[in-house]
Amino acid sequence: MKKLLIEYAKIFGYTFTGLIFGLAFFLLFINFYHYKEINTKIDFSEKLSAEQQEANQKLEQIKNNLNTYNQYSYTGSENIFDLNNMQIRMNSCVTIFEGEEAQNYFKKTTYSLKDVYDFTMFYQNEIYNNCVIMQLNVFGSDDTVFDVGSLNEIRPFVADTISTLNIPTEYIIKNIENADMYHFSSDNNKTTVFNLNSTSFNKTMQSYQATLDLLVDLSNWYKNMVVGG
Amino acid sequence: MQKVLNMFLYILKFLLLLGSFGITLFVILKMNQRLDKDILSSYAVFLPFILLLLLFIINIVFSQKSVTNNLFYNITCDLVFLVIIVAGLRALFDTNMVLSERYGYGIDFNYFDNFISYLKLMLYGLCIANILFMFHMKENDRKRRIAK
Repeated sequence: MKKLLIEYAKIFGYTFTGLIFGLAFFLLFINFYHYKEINTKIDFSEKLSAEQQEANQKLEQIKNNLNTYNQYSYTGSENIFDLNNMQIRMNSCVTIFEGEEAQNYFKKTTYSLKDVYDFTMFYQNEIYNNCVIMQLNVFGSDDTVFDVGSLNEIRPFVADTISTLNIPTEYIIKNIENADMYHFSSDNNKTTVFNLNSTSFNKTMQSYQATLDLLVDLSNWYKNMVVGG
Repeated sequence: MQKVLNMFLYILKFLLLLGSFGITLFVILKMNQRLDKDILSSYAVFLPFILLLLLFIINIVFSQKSVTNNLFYNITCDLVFLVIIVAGLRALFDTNMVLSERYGYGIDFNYFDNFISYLKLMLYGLCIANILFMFHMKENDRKRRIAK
């Protein structure tokens, strides 16, 4: 009986050790794989030069539209304080887009997951928070301070566009933060970090361009209002 | 050859235990500092280390050769401690993990916190295996059995 129990203890001892050996090996390899995976860099150079060209064209258009207004030569019926305010708000957005940090993201040729994360955080903090929320939100808000009649016509469009801009980037940030952890395989996380890197970058760039599009539309409306007035 | 390898792994086991404990202590200390928590609140993380060390000491004191000379057990111990060290080093130095710099501490607490459950699982498993390997037939019994 004693001999049998000792044999069983030995069997269970080896079983436990074997299971732990397997788990430890799995963790060691998955750590190595995870380390390699999040270090992967993707070359976006071609895409970036096209995007930069597009962004520069839009910025040029915005600046031209905004420069049509000069408070000293303006003879229209709109309140010049409101027009000044609008011009300053849109110009501050242009400054963010033309800033060194924004331009640096276009100069980069390869992006690792961390670079995409930094780019998305830049979009979230500088462009979405400082430009869209602090400067442009007032164009789509009901309790706006502007006393400009035609603003009512574009307000729903602006409000709708702003509400859709933040959704993808918030999700992307959470998703990339989750990529810090490795998990046991599930349907949800079978997509590799390589895909995550590429799709996250494309989505953030889409939001970036969409914000510029909004700014272009607003500046077009502003120009029409000023010239029309 | 096997004896030499076993001796090497046996000594390495203690060194790696020390290293893995040190790195875990460092990360947990920093983690608690950040959360303004007392280190004693994290005793559950260190308990398996202490238990395992106690068992190793028992193995030495009672010269339990069924454990100390067990090559597979020694390899597994080394591997487990190595994995803990690798995870600790990644939490400290792998700057490609985005949360490493997110909160300005330079340590990916989130990553290490997720690893703690594996750490406990492996160390408690080693403790159980150690206890199970302690049961063995005495040399006299074995000789008697062979004589029969």
